[in-house]
Amino acid sequence: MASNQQQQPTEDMDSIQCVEVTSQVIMKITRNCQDELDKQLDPHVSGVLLGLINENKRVLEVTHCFPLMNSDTDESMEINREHMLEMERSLRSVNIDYQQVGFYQSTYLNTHCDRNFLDSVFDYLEEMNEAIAIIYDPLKTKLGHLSLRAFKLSSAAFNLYKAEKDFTAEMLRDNMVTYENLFQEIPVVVKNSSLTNVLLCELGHVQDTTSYFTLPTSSYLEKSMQLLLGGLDEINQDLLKINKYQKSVYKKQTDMMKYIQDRKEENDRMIREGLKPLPEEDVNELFKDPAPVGRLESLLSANRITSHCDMIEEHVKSGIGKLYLADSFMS
Amino acid sequence: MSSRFFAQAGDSSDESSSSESEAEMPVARAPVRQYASILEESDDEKRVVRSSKDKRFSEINEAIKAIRNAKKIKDISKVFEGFNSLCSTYTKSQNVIAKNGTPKAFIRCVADLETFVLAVWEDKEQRSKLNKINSKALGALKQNVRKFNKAFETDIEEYRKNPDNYEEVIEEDESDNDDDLETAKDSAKQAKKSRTSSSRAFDEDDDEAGGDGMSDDDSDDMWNESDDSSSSDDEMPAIGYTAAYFLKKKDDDKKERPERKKKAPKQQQPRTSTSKEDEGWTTVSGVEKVAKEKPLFEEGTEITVDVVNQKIAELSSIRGRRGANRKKNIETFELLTETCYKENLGIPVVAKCLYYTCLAIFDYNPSMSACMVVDIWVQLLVTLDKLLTLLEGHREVHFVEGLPDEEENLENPEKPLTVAGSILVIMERADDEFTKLLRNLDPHGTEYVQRLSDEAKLCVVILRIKAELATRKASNNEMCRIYLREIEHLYYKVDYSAEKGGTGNSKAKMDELCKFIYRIESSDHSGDLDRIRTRAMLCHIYHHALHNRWSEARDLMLMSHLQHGISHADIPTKILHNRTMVQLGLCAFRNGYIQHAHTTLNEIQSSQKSKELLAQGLSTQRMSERNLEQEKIEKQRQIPFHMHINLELLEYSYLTCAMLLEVPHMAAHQFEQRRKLSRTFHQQLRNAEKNPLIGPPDSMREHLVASAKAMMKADWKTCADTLLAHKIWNLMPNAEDVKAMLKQKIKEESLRTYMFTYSACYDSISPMVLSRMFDLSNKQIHALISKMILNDELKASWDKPTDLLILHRAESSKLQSLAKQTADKLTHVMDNTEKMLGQGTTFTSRGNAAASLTWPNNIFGAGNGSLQMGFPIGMSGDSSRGGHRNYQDRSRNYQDRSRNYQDRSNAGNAGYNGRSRGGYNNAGGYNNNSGGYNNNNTQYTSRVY
Repeated sequence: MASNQQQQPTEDMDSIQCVEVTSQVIMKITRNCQDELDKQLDPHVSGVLLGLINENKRVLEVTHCFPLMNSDTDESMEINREHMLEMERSLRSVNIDYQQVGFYQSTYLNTHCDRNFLDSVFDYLEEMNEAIAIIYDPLKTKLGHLSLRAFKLSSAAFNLYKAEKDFTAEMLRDNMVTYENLFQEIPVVVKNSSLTNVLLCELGHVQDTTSYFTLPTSSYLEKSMQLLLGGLDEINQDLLKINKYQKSVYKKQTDMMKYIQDRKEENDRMIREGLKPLPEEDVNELFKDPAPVGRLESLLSANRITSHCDMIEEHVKSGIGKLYLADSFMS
Repeated sequence: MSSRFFAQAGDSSDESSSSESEAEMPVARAPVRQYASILEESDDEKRVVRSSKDKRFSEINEAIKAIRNAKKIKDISKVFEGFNSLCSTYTKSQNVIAKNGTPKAFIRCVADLETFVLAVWEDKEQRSKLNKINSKALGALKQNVRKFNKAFETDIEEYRKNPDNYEEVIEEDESDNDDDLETAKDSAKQAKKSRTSSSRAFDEDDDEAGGDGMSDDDSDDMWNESDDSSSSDDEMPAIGYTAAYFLKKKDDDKKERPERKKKAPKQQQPRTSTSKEDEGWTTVSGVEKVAKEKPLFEEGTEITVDVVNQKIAELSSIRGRRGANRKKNIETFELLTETCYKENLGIPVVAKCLYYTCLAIFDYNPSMSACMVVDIWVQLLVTLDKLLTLLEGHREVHFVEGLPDEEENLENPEKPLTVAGSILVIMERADDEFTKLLRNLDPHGTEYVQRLSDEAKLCVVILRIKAELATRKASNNEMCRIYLREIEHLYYKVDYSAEKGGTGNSKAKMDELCKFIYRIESSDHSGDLDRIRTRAMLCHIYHHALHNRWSEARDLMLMSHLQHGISHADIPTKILHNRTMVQLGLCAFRNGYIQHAHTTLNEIQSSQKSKELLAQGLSTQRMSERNLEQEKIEKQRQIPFHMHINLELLEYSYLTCAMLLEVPHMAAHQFEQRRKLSRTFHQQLRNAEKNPLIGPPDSMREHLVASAKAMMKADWKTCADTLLAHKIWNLMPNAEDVKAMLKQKIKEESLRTYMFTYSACYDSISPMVLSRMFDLSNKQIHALISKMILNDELKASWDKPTDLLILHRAESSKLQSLAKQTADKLTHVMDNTEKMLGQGTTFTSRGNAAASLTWPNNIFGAGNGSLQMGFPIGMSGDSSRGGHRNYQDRSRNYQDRSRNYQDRSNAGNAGYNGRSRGGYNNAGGYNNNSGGYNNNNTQYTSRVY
């Protein structure tokens, strides 16, 4: 594992093809999130994932996890750190995988994608190249779809973020980072032991299949739409900022041109009069570039909008199907 | 004569002797002493003789004397000061001097000064003894004098040649031109002597007179004179203490004014006798005062118009001085009036005396802001009344404003008789003082009511002055002023006779008065006349509004375009404007024009500063921000209590208007956060919500909130009961009518609220039911609902055969409105993006600077064609074509689709409504989802390409 860390990121970044999660981990995450959400309304529940990297199969195996406190204050962060060390030691002593391979986090209607999340992912990635973040959506689970998605920062984005915390447009262009490939999603595979599989097979017979026909509630959609609206607002504001920036750049350009023109005429005149011409180099000092608009936030909001769109699509898709089904039944 | 006495008392140096003499004086002389002391307390200025020439010359003489004094005691710095003041006086009086020539005394003084300075300068020994200040002053003086004297070289030369000539001339000068220098001095000494019967004091006096810097001859002369006077002490035993005085005076007269001398003894006799007998028109106390006090004029003086005039000038010269006894001053003027009356000096003089009495009364108060004492004000009114009676009796006498005193004509019957001054001004001030008086009284005390009864008297005076001015053909401006005064005393009064249906005369009166003012053309566009017109107009509107003549008031207000210019008006006019607007609003309210009432009152009420705006009290808030000065000014603007508009009633009326408008409005726009009509009303509602426990309504606001709550539930009965239960409505004129009107309005608005709130629950509704519910006739219901349908407020239609109101469902669900909003936002985003791209192209087309080139590239990420902006809306993906042309196509495409979507979504709604009635609400939402989905789908498809 030590050797893993020493490997060059360029070789290794795309090495993982799949994340294998044991059902035990899923149960633990679900349980933790459910408990926390029952207790409080804060949707951010997080914990540490443990496991190891199977280099042969290019698979990240997540075999264990433990929850963390909500790390808002310095105090709780300190406690978390101690807790993590303690857990690591304890787990090592009972011979369970103790290497941190990432973290998990709960989400509410895919709103997780913000700066904090980016920072955390980045931090984990810095420590370990293969680190991932698993996003668990308790709301969806409640609706009957287990939603577990693994993300990591794309290598381009990672490098970019390492260099500069706020992206500029040029950087994005040069590194070909878009809102779509900012994060890289890795397929999650649930891996169970044979015994568990047997159990599941037995449980499968008991499952109630009628729940498939319930229609998705409109409140869920409403909320998604509201979030979408919020995202659009952000984009809009960003656009206005850019417009303003453009204007100032344009103004700067025209001012500069005018200045240069004037200077040139002045110099021509002076040369004609046999005087020493004035320097022309001070133009760049006189006219400062306006501060460019940071791209990171808009990138993130674009990302969020995408996920909202995905969500709505998914949500509605099943609903429409069911409606048509019901319609045909009725007729 | 005592004028001279004044002058001297002012400048003579013997405070000590006078105080000594005071100590020795018996009680009987108290008033005199007082009198004298007033004068002595007053500043060192000389009395102001009105003629500017006299004034200037006396100033010069003053300075000359100061220099002489200082020279005597060798106080060089004093001399220097004196010289400086002489110079400045001289420059000031340039024009007078140009007319009359340089006074000889002046020449003599400067010449003497020069010699004096040179002498001191030469005398080395003495100079070395001088202290620092003096030696410094000496140097400066020497230089200045030399410089200054250059201008008068010839004169000085002449003076040097024959100084005697000059001396004589000076005597003449002083005695002829200005009575003040010598004669005044003399008389002052006489006064002193008269007061100080002890010879010691007398000696002292004289010594000082010698030290006064008069020439030796002068002082000798004086000595002799005083000697005479003291020796003849017993000649007039009747008026013991003034005996010396009079004798002395006679001497004076003998020497300087021979013509007076003869008359003086004659004059004495009647003076004393008349003062006790012939004063039928003054109070007895006045007579006593006359008897006790030192007479105004020395006995024996012939009281002529000139003398009185002089006296008046002199008395008025001490106006406003520190320490002057103002009460005394008033009395003196009254005395003077009486005297004039008795002496038959002619009406103009009496008028003038009365006029000055009024002025003296105004001076009674040291500051403008303080209010007069009631007694004094009454006295003022009486005096004014007298003056007026006098004028009414003698139309030939005119008061002319701004007339110089010299041009007054008090005697000459050939020319028109004129007196300087303006009776109008006096009246205006009296009126202002009256307002001030009321302002400072406790409005709830009986005193206030008593004072208020004086208003009638004041009004009578105003009317009389108006008549007088009219007969005297006063200028337009003056007429307007007096008319305005009358209007301002009339406009706020309710004419009860008019209210009872009778033809009120106050309306006609107002019309007449105001129209008079309107008719006057302001030829010179003077701001004053404009102001008068504005005020008259406002008063007129106010009066109309007060009497419920809504249409007249409104028309006048609108036609006059007052509101355009009011922001430039002065503050009292603004206050009047505010009052008028409020009254207009209340009038609209009483007449049931709720909308108008609301807009009119909103301006005043929304700021929460109605108290300040109407000048009916200082607002308590921001107390800390206001300094004392401002507070004082604000206090001066306050309107007296009897003119107040009831603020509670105002607020309640306003809030009722707001409720009637706002509650249906709120019901109509439940989901949208629309503009609020009345912030104040919402504030009240919010405040009420904060209360943990809602009890039965007690205060005015609680009543309102409770009724508003009832109205929201369309419970008109509770609403009306609660609202009208408050007893404040009784303060409203025509309370019963207003209440009935309100009840009707509440019913109507409750119906509207009901329809807005609950129409969704009905498929159809019978107007009969509504009529029962809201106690409105079928016709009214029909009218109201039809109006709502017409205004697009209610989606419904009448079904005639069944006589039912069929409601169409048209409101969108929340999801649908969200989808609409999304579409709006998307168009926004797209517009912005296009704008940005447009600018990008301009950059590329110019493409001359490095920085500019970055933009299009940045945005489009030309390399891979995917938009870095990262919109999930139809502009990402598709790298092959690149460039924004492609994007624009796409966006247009999107736009179309979005339009398409909207149509479809609407169509979907319409189609779905039929089904959703069957309790399939969820699906109703769902249909829209598919719309929303479509929307997203557009995005997705474009992404997939």
